[in-house]
Amino acid sequence: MMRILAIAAVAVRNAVRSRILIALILLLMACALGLPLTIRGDGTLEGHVRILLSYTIGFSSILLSISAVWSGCAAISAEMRDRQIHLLMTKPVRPIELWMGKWLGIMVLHGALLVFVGLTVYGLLLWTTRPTLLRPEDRRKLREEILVARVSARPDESGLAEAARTALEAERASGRLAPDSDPEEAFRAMLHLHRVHFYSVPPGSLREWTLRLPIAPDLNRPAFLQFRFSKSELNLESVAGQWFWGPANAPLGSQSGTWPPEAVHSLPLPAGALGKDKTFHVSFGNADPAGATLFFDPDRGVEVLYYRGGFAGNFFRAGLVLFAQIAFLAAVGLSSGALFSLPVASFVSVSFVLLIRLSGYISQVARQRQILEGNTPSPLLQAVDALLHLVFRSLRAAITPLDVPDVLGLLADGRFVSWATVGSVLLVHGAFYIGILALASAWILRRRELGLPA
Amino acid sequence: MTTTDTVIEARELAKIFRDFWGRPRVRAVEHLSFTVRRGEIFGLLGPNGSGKSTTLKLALGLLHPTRGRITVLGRSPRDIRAKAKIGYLPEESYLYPFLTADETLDFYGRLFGLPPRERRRRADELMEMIGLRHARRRPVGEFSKGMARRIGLAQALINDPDLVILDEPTSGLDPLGCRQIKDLIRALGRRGKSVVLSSHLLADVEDVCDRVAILYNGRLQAEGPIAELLEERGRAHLVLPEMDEATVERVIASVRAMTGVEPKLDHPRKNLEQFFLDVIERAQASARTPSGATAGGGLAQYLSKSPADIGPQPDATLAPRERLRHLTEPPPPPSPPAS
Repeated sequence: MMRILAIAAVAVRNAVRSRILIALILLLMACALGLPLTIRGDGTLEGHVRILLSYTIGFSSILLSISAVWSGCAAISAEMRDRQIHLLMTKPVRPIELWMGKWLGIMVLHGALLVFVGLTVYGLLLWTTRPTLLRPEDRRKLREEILVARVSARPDESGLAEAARTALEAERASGRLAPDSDPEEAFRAMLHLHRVHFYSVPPGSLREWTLRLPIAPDLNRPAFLQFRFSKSELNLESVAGQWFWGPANAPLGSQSGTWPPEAVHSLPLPAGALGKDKTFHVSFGNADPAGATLFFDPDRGVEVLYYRGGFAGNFFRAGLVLFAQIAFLAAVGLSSGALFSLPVASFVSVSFVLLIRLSGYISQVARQRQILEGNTPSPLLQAVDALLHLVFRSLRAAITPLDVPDVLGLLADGRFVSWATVGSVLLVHGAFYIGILALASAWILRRRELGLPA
Repeated sequence: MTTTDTVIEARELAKIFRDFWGRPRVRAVEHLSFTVRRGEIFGLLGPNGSGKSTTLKLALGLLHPTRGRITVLGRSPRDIRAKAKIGYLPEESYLYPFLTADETLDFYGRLFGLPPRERRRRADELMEMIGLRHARRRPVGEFSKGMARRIGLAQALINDPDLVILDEPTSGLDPLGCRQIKDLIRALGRRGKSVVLSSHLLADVEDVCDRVAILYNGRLQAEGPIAELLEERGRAHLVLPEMDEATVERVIASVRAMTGVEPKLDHPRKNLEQFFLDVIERAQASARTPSGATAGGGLAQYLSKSPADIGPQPDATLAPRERLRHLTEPPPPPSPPAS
């Protein structure tokens, strides 16, 4: 451990004395203070706070991620280039200790910078929402909708999969389904159809959804019904309708109004509307005079948000997730640097990061039945297609666990960043992937001849 | 000779550097076998590109042999138990330029797991030994080549190594520094340390080494004790005190009569190094605080096996070179007990 700490301390000293730290602090300060001034929000206080939370921290974390990858790449490869590693590796230092020491040094530095960004943004938040500046109702609205950790409940879709399966069987039995169709793809398409139907409200009809609340709500705290829909008509005129809560046959309350499509609406629910039994019923009646069918977004079209905890804890948990991501990127850079020269290591690391960003596309391609286009596939095309499938599926298997929820989006929406999310990111990024990278790098360093002529 | 007497053993060692496609590019070392014994000062001699540095890097585990085998202190050079007993001074300064001299020694001391107090003590003694006490808080990147060489040597000794490997140890040093390093190497040898050094400066090697190996084109050309290799058999050298001319003539006539050979007469001369050192010593006596390295204060105490091995402590009032000599000369035999 002493050797790891010694190497880490030297890595930190290097950053401090080469003025990298000062440059980073200046950039981060410019980001924290300048972005809220230069990015135009929607003019509201909520918009300003959202910019602080998502853009400012987002840009800062991008800066820190780039710095972590680059520092990682340089940490070992630059020492190989300048031969300092000759002295280091002729001391009783194991390759894994060298790697861990360098990684720890980078993480101490970037952890401190992330804390600096967090404290700056938090300070700015307190400053811009200070009591002397805001009316009490504005402060209350901020505290209830953004500066809070709210848990969300969505409609219970548990019956949809079974219904889709039954409908698929019926299609197959009636011969309307092509015999060579991919069963998995056909099921996905049928499930999607069922979901669209589940969230659609034809004109003059009422649709009821049952929401299972993940935790018992605090009845003294406010709750919100948040919704977003599109409509079958190609115009953006507001739609009239009425929301009911409580069972459809005996509603506890209702709210009528007109709402424009393609926007997120938040409807405050009266105290005690959620009840204690962790089940909430909500219905929407479509009273659109133009007769348009409404399609609520299947992903976040109907949901109830209610109090789960304070903002400070949420802010801290989001910071931990960002820290784990930066730690992983530093490990990627460090491992590339153990194998390649600095320019090549930088290129490889950036390519890898881009690959992670493209995980959605990779997943989509991997799910396709046929990757290469062609009506009359030759045996060669089929073989290439099979190979591409293998490559994309392997990439999907390796990269999908690295896909992290958008914690800054959650934070800016006042949504709860759960400890489960933090734990899984720390486990996957922090323990599993970083562990694999550390062991692989140690193996490479053990086998690599460090004394080769330049 | 037992195995424990062997510090480095190389057998049929070969190192071939290959290109990207695996084709042999340079045969740096071939069929190289040699042994370095405990307590010996062993020199690797050869012109540039003869394979000296490659051989040292093989002994340090920085390169892997293509063929053959090399063991250091009875283990693989890549075994950290062997590395814990080795001190290494590379040919160039591979130190971190942003660390001060103090931090440099502390860092390498930590890599050997030395406790803080011991690290501080050793750093103090080493700073004194290399004459950089006044520059201990300056970043190594600001040092001259000679100063960097000295701090490099200090880091090589921080762990009190059994085996010291020095690649061109006097490179970049002025004559005074060269002399100090050579004195130090001799002192290390007397304290039971094994020293392997590579150099193309023949006088340096001749001054300090017990045995040498001469490499050319990666192959061993000659190996043996210096005295044996350099001895000219069939000739003798007689040193006489200063005599008047008539006595000298009589001695020459006697030798001529006895051997039938005309003897050659000349006067012993100081070499330039000795003369230079005398001049510098006189200048130092009246000098103010220097910006570079000072003369140094002899072998660090912790490098000795025990306080008894160190011998008498130097008199601080002596000139630096005298203090160094005082420390590096073997201790006098114990005086007989009084009857």
